[in-house]
Amino acid sequence: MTETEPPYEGWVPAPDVPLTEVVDRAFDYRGNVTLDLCDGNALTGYLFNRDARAREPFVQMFDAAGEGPITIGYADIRTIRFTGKDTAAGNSYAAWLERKAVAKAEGLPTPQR
Amino acid sequence: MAVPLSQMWTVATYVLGRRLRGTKRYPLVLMLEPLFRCNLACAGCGKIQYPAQILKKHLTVERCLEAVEECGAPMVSIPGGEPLMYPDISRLVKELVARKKYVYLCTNAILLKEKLEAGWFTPSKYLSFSVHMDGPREAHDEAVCRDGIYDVAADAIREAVKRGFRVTTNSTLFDGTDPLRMRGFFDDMMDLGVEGMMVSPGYSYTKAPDQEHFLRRQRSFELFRTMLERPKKRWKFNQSPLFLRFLMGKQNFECTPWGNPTYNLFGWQRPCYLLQEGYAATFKELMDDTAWDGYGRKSGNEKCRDCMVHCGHEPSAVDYTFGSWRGFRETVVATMTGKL
Repeated sequence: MTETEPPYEGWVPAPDVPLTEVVDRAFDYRGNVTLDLCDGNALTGYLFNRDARAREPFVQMFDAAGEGPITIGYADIRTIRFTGKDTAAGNSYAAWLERKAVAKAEGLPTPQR
Repeated sequence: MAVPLSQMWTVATYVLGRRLRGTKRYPLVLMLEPLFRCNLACAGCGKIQYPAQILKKHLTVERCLEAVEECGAPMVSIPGGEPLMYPDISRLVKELVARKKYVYLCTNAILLKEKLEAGWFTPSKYLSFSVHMDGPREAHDEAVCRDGIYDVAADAIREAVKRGFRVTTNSTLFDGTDPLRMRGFFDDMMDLGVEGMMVSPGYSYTKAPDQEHFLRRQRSFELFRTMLERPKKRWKFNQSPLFLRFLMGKQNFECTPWGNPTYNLFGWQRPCYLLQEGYAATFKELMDDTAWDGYGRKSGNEKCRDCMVHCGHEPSAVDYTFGSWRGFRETVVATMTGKL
């Protein structure tokens, strides 16, 4: 996600957002997501790969226990909810420089990570 | 230059062999990431921004070795994550050395002294610790977001050198780096006894107008020119002199995104070490099915416009060296005279 994009944590896509777009967002997202499947099941985990150009487009993920990779066809996905914490949020170099500048201005020690 | 002759010979014969066979695309260095876990949390580091279940995972040694065989590159760089947190790093390195692969173990060195004292590694011409050092004490500690790490790393370098290991440093430099202080840093690293240093500009991507891209490149050239102009004889760089000339704006290279392919928990990363646009299941699939023409500065891809990073451009410099008499002559002259 770029600095200018809205946060996706907690995002539940509206029904009119195309699935390919939702998958792309999930692929860029650095947190767990929940796939609601067409058969009524749900699968939560980290979506690390997708191929929309394959003969049968698919996504790949590791589930919340780290098991995988699990491959699921686009055709089997109803929607994707962004249920996990975004591990990239607020962790950019620019955000770090900003926090450091604030600490300096307030006479506080440099924040450590 | 600080690359041992046996390593130069291995790389030269490998590249010439590929060229004689007419192989258009070949890998030079495999970037093998056995884990993403790290004991630092450097600001902006995308490698560690994953949910807990991913950070807990790592590749098996067997899977790593299969990837090494599949790829066939003569050099293997092990970044991460922090490879010294990989429980099987000792066995992995032994297996790679036994296969005569030149291994660069890229580490922040926090655990290095402890692992050396525990006898995890044996000195070998095939093994080099590539210690992350992003500049002088203050700059490095700021880059890794923790005070005191420069001193820990410097101490570990001394210990590794004392024990007879090959040690290099790798420095990623961002906008705002003080080039004159970096010259002092090069002196400090040579004083520590390292075999050679590696430098590269960091990767940044922001959507910007053409003029801003142009200015960014000009700033990078200026930084590296000021830093590397009239290099001291004692400075040794563990990289192609032509790549350094490229950083100084004296030579132009296009990106070779397949030059340093990356393998990790997710598979073979497309298209390169820096961009993450998907994963291939096999090395062959990566090489055959990636739309390579869509990457590199010439392609017009916005994400590649400012990139001058070593993983794409050093392989270009090496290919130029062994692909033409002119490139070979330029490399020999720069190596022999030390002039960039």
